[in-house]
Amino acid sequence: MTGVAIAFWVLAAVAVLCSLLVITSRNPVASVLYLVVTFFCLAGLFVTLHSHFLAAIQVIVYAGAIMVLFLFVVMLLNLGTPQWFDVATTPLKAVALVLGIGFVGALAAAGVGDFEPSATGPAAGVHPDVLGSTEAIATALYSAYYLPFLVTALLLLVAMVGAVVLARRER
Amino acid sequence: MNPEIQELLVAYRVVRPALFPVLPAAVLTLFGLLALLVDVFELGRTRGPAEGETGTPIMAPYLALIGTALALGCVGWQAARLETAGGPYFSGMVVLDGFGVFLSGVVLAGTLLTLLLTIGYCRRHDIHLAEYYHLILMAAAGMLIMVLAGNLITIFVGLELMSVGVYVLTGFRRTRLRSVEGALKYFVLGAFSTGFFLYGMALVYGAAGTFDLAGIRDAVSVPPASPVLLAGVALLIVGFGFKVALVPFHMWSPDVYQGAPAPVTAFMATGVKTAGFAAFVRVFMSTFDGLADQWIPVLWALAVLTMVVGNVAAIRQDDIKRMLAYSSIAHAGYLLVALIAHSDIGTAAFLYYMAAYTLMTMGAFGIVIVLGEKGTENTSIERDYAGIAWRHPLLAAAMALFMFSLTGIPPTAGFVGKFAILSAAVNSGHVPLAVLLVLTSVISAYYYLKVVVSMYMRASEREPIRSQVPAMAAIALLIAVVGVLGLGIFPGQWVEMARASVVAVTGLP
Repeated sequence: MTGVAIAFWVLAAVAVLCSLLVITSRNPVASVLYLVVTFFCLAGLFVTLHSHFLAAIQVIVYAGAIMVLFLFVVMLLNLGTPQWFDVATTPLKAVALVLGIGFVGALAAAGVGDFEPSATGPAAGVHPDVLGSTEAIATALYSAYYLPFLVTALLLLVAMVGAVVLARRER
Repeated sequence: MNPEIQELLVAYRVVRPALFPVLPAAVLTLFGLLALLVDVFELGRTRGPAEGETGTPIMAPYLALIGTALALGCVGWQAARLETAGGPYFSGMVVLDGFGVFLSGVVLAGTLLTLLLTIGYCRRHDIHLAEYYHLILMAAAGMLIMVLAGNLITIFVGLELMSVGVYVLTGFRRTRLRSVEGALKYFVLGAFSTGFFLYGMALVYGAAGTFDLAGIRDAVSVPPASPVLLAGVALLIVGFGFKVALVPFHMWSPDVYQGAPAPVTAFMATGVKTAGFAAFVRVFMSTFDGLADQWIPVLWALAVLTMVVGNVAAIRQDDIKRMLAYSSIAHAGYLLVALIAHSDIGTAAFLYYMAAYTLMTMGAFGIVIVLGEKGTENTSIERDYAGIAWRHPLLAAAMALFMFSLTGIPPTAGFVGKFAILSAAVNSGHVPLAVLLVLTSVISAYYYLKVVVSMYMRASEREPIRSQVPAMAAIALLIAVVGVLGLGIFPGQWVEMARASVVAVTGLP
């Protein structure tokens, strides 16, 4: 087993474990902190994939800025009381569990875990050091992916306007 | 002249042709931003108070109307220049073709009718925020991007632009509990379905090595299809199925349709459905064409479920918005049959039905909107619609026409549309599906005609609805009536146009 493989399995295991803890822990603050750990693991996974820029963005934007905002909101609203999040155990939960396991089983049967990536993708034949660099991402964003990039900007504007509309004060 | 400016001009001349396919979306965006800015600088006393207070007139609605009309003009220009200008743009991110231009026209017609109907509604319900119109225009721009998309990434960002706008619009009347409930349900379930869509995209990318629709088609054309690819296709079906409300991914739609302000419901029932189906049909008819043997049985089962559950559940509804929600689920089933036919005739039938469906649904919601009163929307079929025919004979007649059209009774657009879908299905050998479509249409007659019976044959037991039809809404209703009858009585040239649009599809084989 190579070093990269070991790093992958460790990071993946911690990421999955922590994301399970995010949705099962009773304390919202703990949930948010587990989410931070998950994001750090994802950043690590990006590093193993030679995407250094994405890894940095993941840490700065998600683990840094967004999660701090989450913590602020959770603490401001004082959501410490756990009964808020108690969901009654219903037969539907069992059904959901069976369906969820079935879904994962179906994906495993389809061979999602161990298939060879396509040889025709943009990653094929590119030197790994160039692949995830800031320059490569910028080139892609401002040439081939220019239109989706523009639309994403509009999307952020709409999300902002929407947040203002929904949070405005009644006069 | 300054050399730098000259360089910029040269660059502009290079870029200008590439802007042609996204011109309508760009016009909508421009006017959407103008609507916001005019409001911020309080030009023409634009800043209105919050919901629940009397307001001052604002300019935003008229800007929105002008923008949509201009965008519609741009679509006409695109249609005229399709022969020479058709093809992929922005490295294949968008594809200008007959299919996309036709559906752009349908989306913009729906947006225009929504805006015409919404102005009186907003006045009556004291919604005086320019953001409302901004969000409608931006959501419509997202729909246009989706309709023309030639790449899974473009479909996704267009889908999100549309969805985020509509989530907020659903919860716009946030002092109403139902409105907030609808928005929350739509947002949470929408985010969940987005997860499915993204996972599907990722798996397809893994198998094909590209997001480009034409590239994926080339990559997957060699059988046997890898199981990973099939898993990706299945997840994409879930994602699309949620957006167009196919059973069993429809649970959100009745609550959301009921809770949203009525014009937003109309916008959702027509625009969101058109854009969702446009991307759905394009991806499955062109990109996954080679996998038809695998996806047809899945969609077949979904179509059967959608038609049966949608129509049967609609019978029990008394709230007209809820009834129309189930009816729009049922119509998604009919549209799916056109996709399952998997032929050019089927795609042409889909295009025609989409146009007919937009007009008749918009018309039905238009009547619902103008029958609302200050503070209440009057949506009970039994109570509020009883005896309407005696007080508002014209409105009742128009409503009856839309109900007949939704049922599929000649000489309306709904009849011709259903006929086109039926003949496409039979042509491709899906006779059981065609029979089921007819049977479920018979079921649908019960709940559509219930509205007509209530309007004409029941005595009203409540105080009469005092409703004045605003001039704008009257124009919208007139357009819908003329459209439904025009498409139904003289279907020839419209069917021909739909056929020609399919032939002019450069993204399809």
